[in-house]
Amino acid sequence: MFRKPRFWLLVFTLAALVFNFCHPFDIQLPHISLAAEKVTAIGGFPITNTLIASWVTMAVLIVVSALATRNMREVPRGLQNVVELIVEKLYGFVESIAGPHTALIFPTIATLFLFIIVSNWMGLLPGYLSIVVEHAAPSAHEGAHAVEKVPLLRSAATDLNTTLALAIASVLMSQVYGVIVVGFPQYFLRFVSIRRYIAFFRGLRGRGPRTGAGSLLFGFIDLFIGVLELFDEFTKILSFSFRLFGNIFAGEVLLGVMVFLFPFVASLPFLGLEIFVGAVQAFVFAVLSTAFIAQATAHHGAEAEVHEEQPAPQPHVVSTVGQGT
Amino acid sequence: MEKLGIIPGHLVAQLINFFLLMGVLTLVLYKPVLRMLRERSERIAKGLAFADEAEKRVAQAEAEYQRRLEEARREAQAIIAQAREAAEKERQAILARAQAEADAERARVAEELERERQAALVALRGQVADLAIEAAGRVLRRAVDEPTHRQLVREFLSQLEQAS
Repeated sequence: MFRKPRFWLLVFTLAALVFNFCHPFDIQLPHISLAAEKVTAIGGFPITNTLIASWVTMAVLIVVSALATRNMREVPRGLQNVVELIVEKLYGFVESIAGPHTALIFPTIATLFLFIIVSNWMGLLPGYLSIVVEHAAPSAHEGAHAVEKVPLLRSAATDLNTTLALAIASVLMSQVYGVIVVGFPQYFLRFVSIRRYIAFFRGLRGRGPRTGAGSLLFGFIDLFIGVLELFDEFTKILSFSFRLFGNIFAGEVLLGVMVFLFPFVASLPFLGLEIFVGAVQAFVFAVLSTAFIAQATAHHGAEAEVHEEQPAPQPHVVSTVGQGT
Repeated sequence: MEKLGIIPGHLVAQLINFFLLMGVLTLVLYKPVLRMLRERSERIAKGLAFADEAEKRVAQAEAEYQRRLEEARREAQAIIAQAREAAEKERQAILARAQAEADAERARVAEELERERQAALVALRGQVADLAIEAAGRVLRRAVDEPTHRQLVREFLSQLEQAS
């Protein structure tokens, strides 16, 4: 019994649990701040801990990728195998949603996913938030010599700048891909839906089939829907950024509080939970981005083609009711 | 915005970070890996097609081999049968010829014997006649008495014996 490792693990765990209530360390409730802390400044540009964490994440991603693909083999080994597996699964996944435009949009989706998941998981590593540097805080009240202790690293997604940037990148790229696939003016007809008016006035001038006066009303509805679509793009940015930020930030706060309450062992399940949450958020971000980009590239493209190829001989109004939504 | 910690400079910096990361990862990760995956799947497809082809060819070769083997066997059988038949015919011919030769030889020997016998008979008959004539002459040339006669005959016979 005393020689079994399992027994000693149990003893150790129980001791650690008891240790929670009588340990000599002074563990404080972490300082919770929505804004990322400024660590230093280069030429007046403030460098925050989340920015540093972003760079670390990027560096890790780039170095691992470069190492894995430095000399690729036909028969994959080790790191190359892992990287190939990840890329292949991601590609297949994007393909299952986006279909034919996968090769075009894959870099965006994959980068979003990889950056978010690696950043989230790295944010759970020891060292994040716990390594602090002293930073001379420019305090307005008590002179310039107040010294602030600031964590050197903080998970990148706990900064709205990061998540907003990712959200903007995602929505921006969906516009770019929309224009690439659908064409320049056609894509923006999505937001300024004046197709019905164009058809109506063409009909009046005898250049196309005449459409009834009712198309004026439907045209107005289309315009309104176009405004909604435009509004929707901004809503996407907000929902993307705040979802990611909220989840990861809340996770960090939760972990901080748990460590404050039960520093040993008892907070471990929450660490596992945060690993899960970090992966799920990356996944959600990637799925939604893929879906939005697929929507921007496929749906309206098909509609535009239908409009161009068929100078509809039948009453236009009836055939297009419900489109554009 | 200040409370949320949103700083335009950082926002732009993170945007730049993202696009930078996207560019670099495209170069060092997506492109090489996807190319490798595509090449590999192409190669595997090619290999499978090649294996199929090879299998088909092996099956064909096998069939061809079997066919030729069968053909050769049949040919061999035919050759053997033919040879056997020829040999049989030859045997018959040889036998017939030997029989005929033997018959002819026997007939010739018999005829020769007959002829020699006849010749011998003729010769013997001539000699006997000659001897009789000679004996008669001798008998007639001398006056012959009984003992002389016997003597003469004995002489004659001994001469005859010597002569033969």
